Amino acid sequence: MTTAAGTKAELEVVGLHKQFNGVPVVNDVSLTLRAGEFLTMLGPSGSGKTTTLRMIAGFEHPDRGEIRLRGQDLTALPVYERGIGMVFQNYALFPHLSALRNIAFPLEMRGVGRTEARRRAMSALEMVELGSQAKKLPKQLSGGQQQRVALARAIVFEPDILLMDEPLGALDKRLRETMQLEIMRITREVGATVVYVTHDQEEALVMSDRIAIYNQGRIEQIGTAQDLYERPTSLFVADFIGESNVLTGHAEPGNGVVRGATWVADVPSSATVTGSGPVSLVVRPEMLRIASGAAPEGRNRLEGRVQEAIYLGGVRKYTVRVADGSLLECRVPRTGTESVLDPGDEVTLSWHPDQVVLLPAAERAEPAERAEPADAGAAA
Amino acid sequence: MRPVLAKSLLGLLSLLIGLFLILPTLFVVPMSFNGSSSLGLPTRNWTTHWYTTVFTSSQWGEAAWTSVQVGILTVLLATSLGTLIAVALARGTFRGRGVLQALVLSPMIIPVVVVAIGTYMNFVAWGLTGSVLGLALAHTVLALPFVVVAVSAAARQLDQTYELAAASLGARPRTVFRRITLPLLAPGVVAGALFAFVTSWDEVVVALFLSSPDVRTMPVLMWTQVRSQVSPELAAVGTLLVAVSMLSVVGLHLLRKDQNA
Repeated sequence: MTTAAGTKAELEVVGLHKQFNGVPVVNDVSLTLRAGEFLTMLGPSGSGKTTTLRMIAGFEHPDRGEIRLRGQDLTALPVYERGIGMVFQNYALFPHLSALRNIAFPLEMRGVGRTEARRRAMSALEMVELGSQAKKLPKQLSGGQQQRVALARAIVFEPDILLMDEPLGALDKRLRETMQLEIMRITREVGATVVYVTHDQEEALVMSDRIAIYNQGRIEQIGTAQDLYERPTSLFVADFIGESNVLTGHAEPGNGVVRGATWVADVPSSATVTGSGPVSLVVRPEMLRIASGAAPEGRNRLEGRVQEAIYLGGVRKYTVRVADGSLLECRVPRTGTESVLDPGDEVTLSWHPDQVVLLPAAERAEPAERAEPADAGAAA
Repeated sequence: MRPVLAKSLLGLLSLLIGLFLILPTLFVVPMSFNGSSSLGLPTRNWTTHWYTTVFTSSQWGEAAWTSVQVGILTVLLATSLGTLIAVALARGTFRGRGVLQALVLSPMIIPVVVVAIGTYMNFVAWGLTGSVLGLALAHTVLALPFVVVAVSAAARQLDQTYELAAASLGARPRTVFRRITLPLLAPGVVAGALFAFVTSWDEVVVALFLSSPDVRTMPVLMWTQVRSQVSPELAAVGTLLVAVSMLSVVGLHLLRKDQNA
């Protein structure tokens, strides 16, 4: 098995299925990781990402499907023989052991001698810059420090795979940003292959080589942050990653246009939608140009009125009500020469046909808010 | 003013209930210092004479030693068995879980005298009457529910993630139990052990059935003495028994406080 990049597959998940009480929570999930890759599973809560992670770790047994580590099937292997490092959302540091002894634990389990285990644990602790806190109990450490100890404990035995389940969920925003960079530095330093679970899209964009977007137990799309943002393959992904304006209309392949109630747009050259029928046009707010006044007739433009103008420092955000009554959002970066508009101004919104994404107008999938036993349990 | 009045009434009521509960017990303390040789409250002369006789008497010494042996053996048996049962009940999803729970807790509800008679009949057949082991086995049955309740409470509060984390770090189930589960349950286990000791230390009904003139616990000897010669010596022994039980309770309290800190 090789990935698209041609390197050997480190972790392969094939056709994974899992139900809880007859409710499918993971539905035919497959993915492949290269050695050293950082993959983030991103999705709303209850979408099956944590359950997938727990199946890779061995805490849950899949109903169907296979998990292979370097070609070896893990499915029947008990947790303690998988050699997979795991960082938990609530850290799960052993409260009765010092930071150092927590980190030495996996080494002792592997028969490493006491002195050697302590020495290696100490160097792992220094790697996360907590060398001076070795003797402290977990409850004497701050949340961020506990998270670092948990990370050190999960990598000290040089596992093939490192799993992280919303490891920064309990930290405040500023600390989270520092820890994101810290985790990236450390996992790169040790060359770990990482599967990371989060529901924070910014975190996913910052940290990942690739992102798998989960929705209702399935992977909607998997790709780099740029793939997902610029070339979403479904409305769910377009909606979930970043903000987007969605225009619905009808494709007219004969004319190469999409026709809406009050507008006509060119079909983007990248479009894969063929045939006529209802389609959605996704336009990112920063790709909408805004100009005051009514525009001459033409394609790829809409007329409207500014409803709201918000100054956000680096950008100005305009909410524009267009002729059919819907609201579109437009972001204009501060350049010093940009025109400033006020609520009530008549404006024209326009876009370049190659900077929009055409998707089939499937009924819009709402993010799953259904409680999922495993996710709920992990969050508690 | 109203709330203050209500509050002081409540305080008074609580105090009265407290006294009602503890006075009969505390009564034996002054009685044990009575200068006259009959059992009663001291009038003029106070003495520690009865403590001297108790501590020098070989009869009381033997009974105390038996009580301690039975108590410790009961603690060992009930605590180890009860801890395992509590973890199984808190974590397991096996068939018959409810039945096991009911069985283990039943000695709390079944009249002690019934347990005593049943145990006696069987132990006579097995030759276990009049032995420290027999007494300890019977007391283990009575102490088990206390251990199970104490440890279950701790086990239910224990976040299972610790055990999952230990497994993911390479620990086999038995190692997880020894290195992670048991240390984290320790406060509950120690509380259970103290309960088990107090249960055995104070127990008289079952012990009456199972004791012999050679092997009898302190409460049994007390009972025998009450029926033959009523002397302040008994009050002295009673005071000592209460003191040991109270020390256990204080120990328990300190343990809880330490845990909450």
